[in-house]
Amino acid sequence: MSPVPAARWSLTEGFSFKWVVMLPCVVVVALLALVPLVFLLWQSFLTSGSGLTAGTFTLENYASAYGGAETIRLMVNSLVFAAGTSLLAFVVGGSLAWMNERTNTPCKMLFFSLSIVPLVIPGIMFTIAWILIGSPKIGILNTLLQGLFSTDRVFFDVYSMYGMIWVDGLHYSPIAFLMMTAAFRSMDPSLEESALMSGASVWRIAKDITFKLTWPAVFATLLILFIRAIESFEVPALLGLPVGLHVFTSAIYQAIHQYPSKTGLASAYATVLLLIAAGGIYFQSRISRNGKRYATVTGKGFRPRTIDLGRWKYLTLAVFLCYFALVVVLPFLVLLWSSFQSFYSAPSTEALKNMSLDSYRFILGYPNFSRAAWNSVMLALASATIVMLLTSVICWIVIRTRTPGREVLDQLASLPLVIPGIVLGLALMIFFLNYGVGIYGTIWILLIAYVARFMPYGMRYNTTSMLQIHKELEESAEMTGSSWLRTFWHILLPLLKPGLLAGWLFVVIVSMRELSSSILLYSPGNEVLSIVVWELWEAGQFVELSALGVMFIGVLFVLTMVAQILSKRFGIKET
Amino acid sequence: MKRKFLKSLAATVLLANLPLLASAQGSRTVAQIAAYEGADRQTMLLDGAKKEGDLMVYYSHPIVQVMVDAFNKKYGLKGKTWRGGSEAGMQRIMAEHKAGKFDWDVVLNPAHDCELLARDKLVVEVRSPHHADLIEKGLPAHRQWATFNVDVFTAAHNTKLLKKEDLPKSYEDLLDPKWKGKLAVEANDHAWYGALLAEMGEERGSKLFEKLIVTNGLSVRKGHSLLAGMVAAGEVPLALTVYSWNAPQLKRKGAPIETHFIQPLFAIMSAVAMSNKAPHPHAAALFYDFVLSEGQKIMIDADYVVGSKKFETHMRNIPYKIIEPTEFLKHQDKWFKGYDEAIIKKAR
Repeated sequence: MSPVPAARWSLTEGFSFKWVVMLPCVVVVALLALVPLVFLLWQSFLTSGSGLTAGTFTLENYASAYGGAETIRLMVNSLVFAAGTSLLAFVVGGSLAWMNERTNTPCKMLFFSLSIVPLVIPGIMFTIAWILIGSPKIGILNTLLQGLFSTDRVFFDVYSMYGMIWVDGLHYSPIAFLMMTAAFRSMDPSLEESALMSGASVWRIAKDITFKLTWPAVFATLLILFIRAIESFEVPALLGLPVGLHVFTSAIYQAIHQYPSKTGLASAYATVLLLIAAGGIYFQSRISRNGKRYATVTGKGFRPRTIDLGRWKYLTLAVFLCYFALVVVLPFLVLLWSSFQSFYSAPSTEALKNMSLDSYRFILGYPNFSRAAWNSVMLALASATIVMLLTSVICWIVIRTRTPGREVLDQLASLPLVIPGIVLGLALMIFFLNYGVGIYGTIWILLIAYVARFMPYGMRYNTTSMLQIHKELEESAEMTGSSWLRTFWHILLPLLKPGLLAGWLFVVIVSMRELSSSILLYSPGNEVLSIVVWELWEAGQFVELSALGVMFIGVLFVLTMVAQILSKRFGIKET
Repeated sequence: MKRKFLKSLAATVLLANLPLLASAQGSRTVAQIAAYEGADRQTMLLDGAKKEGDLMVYYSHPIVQVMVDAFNKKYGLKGKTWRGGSEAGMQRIMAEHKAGKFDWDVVLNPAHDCELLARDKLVVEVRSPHHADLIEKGLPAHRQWATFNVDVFTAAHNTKLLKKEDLPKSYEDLLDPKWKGKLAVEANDHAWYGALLAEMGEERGSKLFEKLIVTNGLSVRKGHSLLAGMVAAGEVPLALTVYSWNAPQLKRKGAPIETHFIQPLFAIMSAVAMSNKAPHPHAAALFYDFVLSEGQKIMIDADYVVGSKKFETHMRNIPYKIIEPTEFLKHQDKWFKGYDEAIIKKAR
């Protein structure tokens, strides 16, 4: 039996069962990643061609994408926006996760479920809710403060770079919350405890120990947030566009959403995102090489224990409450308010008269609503499970072995992150129309698209979690004669549980929201909820959309609460 | 034994005759079915449609689902729909066609998309008896698509914030500083802007908008429904480019919004077309007829302006010019760029 780190592609070791599991995983990941990647690069060198005439080779796309000073301006805007958004989201989500996992802040039970609420609200609704809160003209925040101080000064302008960063940063803070929660949960607190014993302050422990030990997770979180923000569409379209504040994605969107579509131009734009992502992933693989430094889950006993904040715990509770008031409760109330209206309007006594439950009745009676809901739930559960298991195997190969080409594998599984959804959808559509064995037109093509799109997130969650687990645990299992599969299933996966669960939950949510690939790939009979959201949006049925948003939040809240209780009961207990 | 023999004989005779029975109905090609003008057109199509039992409609216009539901109910059929943005629909049609997969029967998209389908020879002429009822520009010379909807660009205002007598009568009126921070347009209305400038004179028009933006600013919103919703909410007191049906639909729900006309008005059309590879040609032609007859009534009831002259619309006494699909396709790139440079980038 060879020790784990020496696992190599070597015939001399003889046939090992682990390749029966790993090879198919590698093949699936390579296929899912290469189809859209090759398509994107290929399209970027083709003229758009109209209708049935094929495109011809050209460099024109790159020239028009990067030729003008205009692009530089867009890039600068995008970078400022993405940097601001990812920092805000990280600070907010990261500190909530820390308070929730590492401290004895009261009422924590509720906080996990509440923290991910912003992610569940459809992006469009979250942004519109903030228009109703922070618009200089009708925003309740401004009108209230103006009334209070009897002035017509604008206190908060949502139509600005700061407004955009604020709204998008808050919307995506749950990403940071989920990733950092997983990292904190898989961290042996003994180092923190020793520091506390030797008299270090809580702040110092957080900065010098907690932050440093979770550095791979911090970096992965920032990377994902940054790329998400660069790709973000709703906030720039609803808050930037009205005042002439344009970002990079507006250009991609414009190129695609006309017919004949300029897929080539959009692809040329997307290649720069590919480069940024590839750089980030490469940097993270450098961190992974020093994996041992971050592994705190070892053969020694491991009990996740929290820090007693003493009286400070009321401060953290206050921070939590402020956050929820501002980021969860306020937009939720706006959503709830408008769901009882018959058209969109800011709260007023007069609008009180128009309250009704019609929008809920409308949603429940919407054609195919229950089928779409069922499809969405099934797809979300299936894609999240596949993504997390698939990428855990891939991560194992990348982190634990010295298999040649493992870094390429890491890149492949991570790069679909930056492929615009509609391009990915188009690539899969053309591929399966021409080579598919009856997959086109069925629900399976949606599942494949979701796995391809969200595989990169699984990679980030699993990489950071796996780095925290010392390989000595697997080694001892192997020493006692356990097979690879047994070790993987009984030792590694349970230890990865916090990361797996957080990643799983994240993929469930983003799968439910996925629109840009779904809309190309769905067929009658396999509609999904995001299509319903889009239809309502297109038809201007904002109040009905609000009702749907309220229902989303309710269901998700109950689900995560149940998950919490179950994992408390069956998880590692605090002693 | 004898009975068994007779049974199998009967079965053989029946089986042998099936192709004959089918060919009496099914020997017609898609084009022949679509072009059939006999007095029994309706019966022939319905009989065929019942045998086909299915129909696939691709569309981008929000009202189509209601029409398909009504169609299914009336004829007891099970027509299915796929809905997406018009460009996604076109992508889907093209990709399926290139791969030799012919799923769709009827498409309802902007007329310029249908014109492209006609140019690529993907659609077939339907000799619908309802063509006679269409407005002049509703049927092109090649007769391969027909207009079912006309979207007129109009202004709309919030009735609580603005009084009717204060509203602008011309685009020049908008230069009055009282409109500062009150105006908005939709992000994708390059055709409206292009046509307006052509009418006003390029130079005069672009100078006017340049001055307008400097003096009063012009905000840009994504989507006509959102823009209309923002008018109702009071965020945008006066929108210059919503569709003529936006305000009446919201007003019906009690929103303080009203359509306002600033001449010259322009409109674009949405059209229905049938695939020349339609897998269910009878049902397809039957639905095509339905869209141009009873479907028009459904649209009128939902405040849309229709392609058929048989129905009175809320725009009946208001003059407007239709931007023809050929014009649209010819100038599309130029208009797109012009709107982007002059309006989108300068929005504030």
